[in-house]
Amino acid sequence: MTLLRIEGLVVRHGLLTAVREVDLTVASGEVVALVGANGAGKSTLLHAVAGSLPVARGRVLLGGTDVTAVPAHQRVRAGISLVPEGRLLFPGLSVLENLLVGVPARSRRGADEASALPRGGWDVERVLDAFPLLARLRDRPAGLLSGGEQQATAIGRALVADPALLLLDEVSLGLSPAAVDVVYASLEAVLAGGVGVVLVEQDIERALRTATRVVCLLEGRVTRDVAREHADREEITRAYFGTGTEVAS
Amino acid sequence: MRLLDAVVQGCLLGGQYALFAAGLSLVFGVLKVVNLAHGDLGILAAFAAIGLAAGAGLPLALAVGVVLVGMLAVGAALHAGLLARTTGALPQISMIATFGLSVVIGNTLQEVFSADPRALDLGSFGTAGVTVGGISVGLLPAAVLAVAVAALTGLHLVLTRTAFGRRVRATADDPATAALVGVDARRTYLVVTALAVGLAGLAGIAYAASSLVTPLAGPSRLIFAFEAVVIGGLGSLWGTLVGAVVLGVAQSVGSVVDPSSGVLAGHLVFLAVLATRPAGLLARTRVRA
Repeated sequence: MTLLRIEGLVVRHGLLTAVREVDLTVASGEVVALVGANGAGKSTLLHAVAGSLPVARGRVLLGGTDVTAVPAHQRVRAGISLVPEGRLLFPGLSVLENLLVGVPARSRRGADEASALPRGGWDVERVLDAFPLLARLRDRPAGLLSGGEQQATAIGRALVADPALLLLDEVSLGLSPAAVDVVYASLEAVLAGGVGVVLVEQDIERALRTATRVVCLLEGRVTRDVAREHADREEITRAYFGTGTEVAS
Repeated sequence: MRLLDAVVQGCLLGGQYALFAAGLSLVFGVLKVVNLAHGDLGILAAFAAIGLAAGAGLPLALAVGVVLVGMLAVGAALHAGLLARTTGALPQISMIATFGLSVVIGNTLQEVFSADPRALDLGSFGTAGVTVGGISVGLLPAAVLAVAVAALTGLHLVLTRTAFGRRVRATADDPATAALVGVDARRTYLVVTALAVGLAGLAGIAYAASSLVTPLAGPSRLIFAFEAVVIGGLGSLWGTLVGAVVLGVAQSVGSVVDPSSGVLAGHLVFLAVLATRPAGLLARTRVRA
């Protein structure tokens, strides 16, 4: 089923238009990699879907329900969770407290129509099982964690809300290669759970290995939208840098 | 013995300052807003309690209960009507807005109640005391200190042990990210402001029970509360208690040295702390601890 449908989305930062007339769909169980150079509008698109950036034009539909005007905290209840670039943990809260911050929102989710969407069945216990690292660090203040530990906590925090759609923004940025391997290994359990995932990743090789579909953004527009099996690295690189691309209709 | 007596009386006085300062510290720690109407909101509660008890003839406990519930509602209205429109803008905007509210509350109270000083009559309890080791301890000031410690302890437990407290601390850290994990920052701010104004109401009632109060006494209460918060460390709850007691002791001991210089001594200690430890005495234990 179509989980997320974006129609004609335009997002502006002041006078700068960061996302231009973007159309995109994500199905349940699909992993869409958003690739593009810095400033292409990838993070802006994710934040607009999560509700933390206002939309100038267009619509965001989750499970057929228009959530364009729904505030960010209610979109979490509706089933959208974002792991933001830079992790943005609450440094004064322990790892466990960071995971639990979103829990009350989950308990109220029953009233939302979108709760009928397929989800992975995540809760705090399952997150601690899936991320043994977090179980060991549960009482440590998040501000004292390493980059990899912070990223695992940020992913766990997003999962505790049991999302239908998980948005991952640059999960490997600033991490050592070993930490990136650990983070992606832990993501496998998430990806196997049937939730829809939109992944922003600078590492094209890793994006191609993880995703089922690859969408290229250039200057706020979708320039390529292909299934992974039809995408090759050279073609993605051309779309990434805007050389010899064809604009998707 | 005279000095020891001054220290004890200063600690008791600190209880009153701590009650006023707790709400100020809470709002600053979470909303990052210095509520310049905080003292006036306390005085509003004091006059409301006096009006209900002495004017309308309600039993004292009922009058206090009605006023405290009313102050929670006033706090919620303060956020919805004023702070929600200014939070996130320049900090000066909310300061100017609350300064305006301070002027409105003070002058309205003066219009309604006149400038005559009044007090909340607690009967014999207001003047009762016990002598411990040659030092007289008033039951009312001791009760106010106990209420202040209980209020701060309760606030600490709520912030550190409850789901609401987690949401408050997350929102205080980063409201935009808190929203991304499902926290309604606006609602959290509203509840925090209601609690803070409720505490201001409790402080105002304690003040009116302890001494004569005038409609324009709010700004002086605000200054003492502000000094207590800064001495202890901005946004730190336990620092607020420590700061309030330090201020109370400084004023009390200052009065022993020169009866007319007690308040001045408090201001000098405040300046000394600002000069030597600008982050406050307990700067590390922020509102989240």
